[in-house]
Amino acid sequence: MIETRDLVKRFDKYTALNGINARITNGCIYGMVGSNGAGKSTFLRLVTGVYRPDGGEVLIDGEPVFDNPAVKSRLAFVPDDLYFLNSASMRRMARLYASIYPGFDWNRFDFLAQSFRLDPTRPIATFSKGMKRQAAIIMALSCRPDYMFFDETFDGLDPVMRGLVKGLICEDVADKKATAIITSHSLRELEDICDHLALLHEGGVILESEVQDLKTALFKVQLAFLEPFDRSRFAGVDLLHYQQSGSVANLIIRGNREETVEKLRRLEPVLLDVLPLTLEEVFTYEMKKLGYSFDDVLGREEESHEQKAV
Amino acid sequence: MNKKRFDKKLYAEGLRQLRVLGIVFLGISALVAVLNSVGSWISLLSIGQEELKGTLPVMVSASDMMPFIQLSFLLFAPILSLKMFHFLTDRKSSDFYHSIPQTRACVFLSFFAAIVSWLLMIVLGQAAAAALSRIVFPGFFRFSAAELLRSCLSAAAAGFYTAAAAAIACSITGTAFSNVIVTGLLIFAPRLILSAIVGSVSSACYVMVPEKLSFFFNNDYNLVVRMLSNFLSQRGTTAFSWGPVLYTAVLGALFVLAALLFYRKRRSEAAGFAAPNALLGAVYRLTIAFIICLIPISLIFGSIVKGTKLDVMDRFEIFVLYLIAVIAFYLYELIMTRKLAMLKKATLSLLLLPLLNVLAIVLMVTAYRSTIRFRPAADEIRAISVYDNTDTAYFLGQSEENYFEAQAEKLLITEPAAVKAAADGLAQTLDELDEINQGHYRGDRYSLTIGYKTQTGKTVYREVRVSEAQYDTILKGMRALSEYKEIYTKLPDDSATLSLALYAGKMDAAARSRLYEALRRDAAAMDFDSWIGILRGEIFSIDTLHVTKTENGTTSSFNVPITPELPETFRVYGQELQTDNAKQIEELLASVKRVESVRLSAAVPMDTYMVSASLQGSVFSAGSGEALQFQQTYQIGSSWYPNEETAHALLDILEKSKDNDLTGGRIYLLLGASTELWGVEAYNEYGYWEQILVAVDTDLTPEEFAQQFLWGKKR
Repeated sequence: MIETRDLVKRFDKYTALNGINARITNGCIYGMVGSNGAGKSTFLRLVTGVYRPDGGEVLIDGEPVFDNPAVKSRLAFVPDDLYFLNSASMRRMARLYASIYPGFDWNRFDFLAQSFRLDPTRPIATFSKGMKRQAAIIMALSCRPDYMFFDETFDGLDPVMRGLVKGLICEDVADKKATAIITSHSLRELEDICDHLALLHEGGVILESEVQDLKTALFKVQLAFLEPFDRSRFAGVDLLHYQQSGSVANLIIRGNREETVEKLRRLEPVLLDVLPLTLEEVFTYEMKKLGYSFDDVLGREEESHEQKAV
Repeated sequence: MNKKRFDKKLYAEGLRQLRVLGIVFLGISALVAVLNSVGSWISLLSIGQEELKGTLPVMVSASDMMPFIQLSFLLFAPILSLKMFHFLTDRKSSDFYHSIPQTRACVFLSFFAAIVSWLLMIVLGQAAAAALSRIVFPGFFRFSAAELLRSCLSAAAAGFYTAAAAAIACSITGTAFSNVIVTGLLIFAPRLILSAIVGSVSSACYVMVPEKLSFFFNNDYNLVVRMLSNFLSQRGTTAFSWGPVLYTAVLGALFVLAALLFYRKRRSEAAGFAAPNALLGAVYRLTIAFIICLIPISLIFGSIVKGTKLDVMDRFEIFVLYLIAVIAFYLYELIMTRKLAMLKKATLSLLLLPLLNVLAIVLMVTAYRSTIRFRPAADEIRAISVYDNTDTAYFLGQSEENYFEAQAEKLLITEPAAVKAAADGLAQTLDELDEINQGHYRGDRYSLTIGYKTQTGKTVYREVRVSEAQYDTILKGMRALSEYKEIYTKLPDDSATLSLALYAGKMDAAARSRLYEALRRDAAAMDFDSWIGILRGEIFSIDTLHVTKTENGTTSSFNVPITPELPETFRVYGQELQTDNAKQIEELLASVKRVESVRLSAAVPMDTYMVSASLQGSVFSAGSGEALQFQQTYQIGSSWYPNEETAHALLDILEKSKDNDLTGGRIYLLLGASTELWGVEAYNEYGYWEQILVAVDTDLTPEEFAQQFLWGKKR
């Protein structure tokens, strides 16, 4: 289990992480989302023992990570900015990893290189950005780690490779009870793979929950009445969002779906539709309730990029 | 070994990462050594086989065999270190090595071990290449394997130190440029600052003896500084001693510990930044600026202690140098950060520069005042010891002490008159300090280094100018000690610690040992004053025996002139020389005769070759104190013609000299005979020279002999 207590990291006067508490149980895939500068990479560097915390502590299975080879030998970290030796091939890098990680599995390395269709003797410098990322993932997975950390790893991977990597991560988690922490800007990248999600903003976790809970805890209802009405008609319902346009109202509700729908049905609406929410919508409304704007937290720019892409 | 401190696989990885550089450096070192050997061989061959006979094999020193050994520690070792820890200058590589499952200490020590391994391979590889490339020319060279290994040891210690300095630099800076600058500062700045401060104080304070301050202040203890200055000043290598090797190795070990500490404390996020924090950044800038300030500091200090006013030129010089220091301060910051805005932030630390200057000057003035404050009365002195600088006429070797003086210095003189003369001498020197500082030297003063052992047991050394009377009284006090005479007359006999060399004559080690044994017998049997006179070189000599004693890391030496005044020594010298040269004399005679035949041969076109034979040397008799010098050159093919009569007479002398035992002669001939051949077209010059000592049993005086046989007549 990974546990952080009041984790603080500062860079000069800038506080990158401000008292983060997290418990990540074994055998889960933990997603972290947040905009640039939210502290995702810093969190991963602290958890993998690259950085020394300025406050609080990081424990893996009850042991501190920093400068602790016994713990670090069970970790593999794929950072956003990848490191390869100058003019090294994948095989040369594998030799480096093999000399560092006691559990490095050459068979798995060969198997993965073949699966990803990468030539292990070719200089990595000649690889495309995506191929380099694949090479780094191969190295990490060949170490047979108990804990895997991926920082923006899916960026630059094509959908096929993304699926392959996700499959490999899931396989390790399922077979070995390994634990993975994956960070991303994009919630959509994570929602189909993560068990848990945490939202980081300005060095703090503002939301953390199991994905399944998030998805079932909120739902959207569209209602229409013949007679005039307003928000007060829904007293007793935990409304996260209310929007009315003429005789039609859209409600985002938290609570037990069946009980709430039954309660609303008793108000005799002429229209009552229960609609599922995407994870992104769930986050949007949850954060609004906490006083944050989703666009601000995950970055309006990213949103607009995604819209363009659509 | 504990895996927390060292990991074999990581060490192997370090070796792999340095493989390209290591092989290149090893290749360069070995190639230089081999080319040097081949060059020496070609040089010997060009002299000609005939002329070479009798001189081979040539004894070559370690510095001749590895002329660029300095590269291994001045360039290769720091570069290897900078390359190994280069990952600390880049964020992604730094993060990678900080994420791996080894302790930081383990990463550092395993990688540093790889650096040291490559360094040893380079140094030993160079030595092996040098040795093998000399061995493949059998009969041409001989060398001491022990000396070669000692040279390797010195280079390895120096390389260890520079590699460690570079490792510290990598641990406390985060860019390649700052790595290099800080490496240079760590290697040279402390010694530079120390030398400049001690030099300034001692030059203003005549009585101070910097060599006696502490070994710490002696630049020769730092092998990097010593070998570099030897190389730059073309001094050749100074004698090996353990002291500097140990000092440099210990300093290197301390640097390694410091580097390890800094590496462990280092934050991965420091990569890419010239300094991991503002404090260290200020230290680097201030060190660079402070080095430039050393000259103005010295000028200001000199003005303060001498009580003189700085003239306009001095003031201008000080202004310019301070300006340069400030520019260097900002320039460093600008190069490192590339942000003009940072200059403003750096300005705050610039305020420390004047403070440091003031501190340095205060420190120097305090040291100066403390030095001149020592003015003990005779009754405050328990004993004195004396290092007689006037006896150094035959003291050669810039970093070596005179053996006798160093031994005599250990003697404690308690004789009251001598002690009083020493106390008075110091007081007088201090009174004359202003005069001395202004460069007024008095001919009636003798310079002595005196150790004053006070009643508290503390010994303080001072350079003192004593009057003739004081000098005589002190020396009388010293010479009255029975141990004093023993030091001079009982020459050291521990052959393991001795190294013997002749300036002119060529003898093997065994012959030199026999010569030294004869010298020991002469010294023990001689009248003390005559022996001292000989040691001071107050007599004509035909050669000089240089004796070096290395013991407990200290090297001292003395020279003894080879003169007929040392009968046993002189006889053995002649015998050994003639024995060694018997074959060479044959060759010389053959050579001289061959030249004559060339002259007489009409087959040699005169405008193509110019051939000459020359004889030069001295004629002297035992006890004459001086010699008649002569030089006679016979040139063939020019307007000069040889005096055949004289030439034949000398050839006869040379013939006879082969059997000469040097005991029956009343006058002696020291002959240097040579033949020279010039190929005009190729501008090649070949020479062959041999020194021969001949005793002549004749009723003629040296003058008459020279007149009759040597000076000849031109036609």
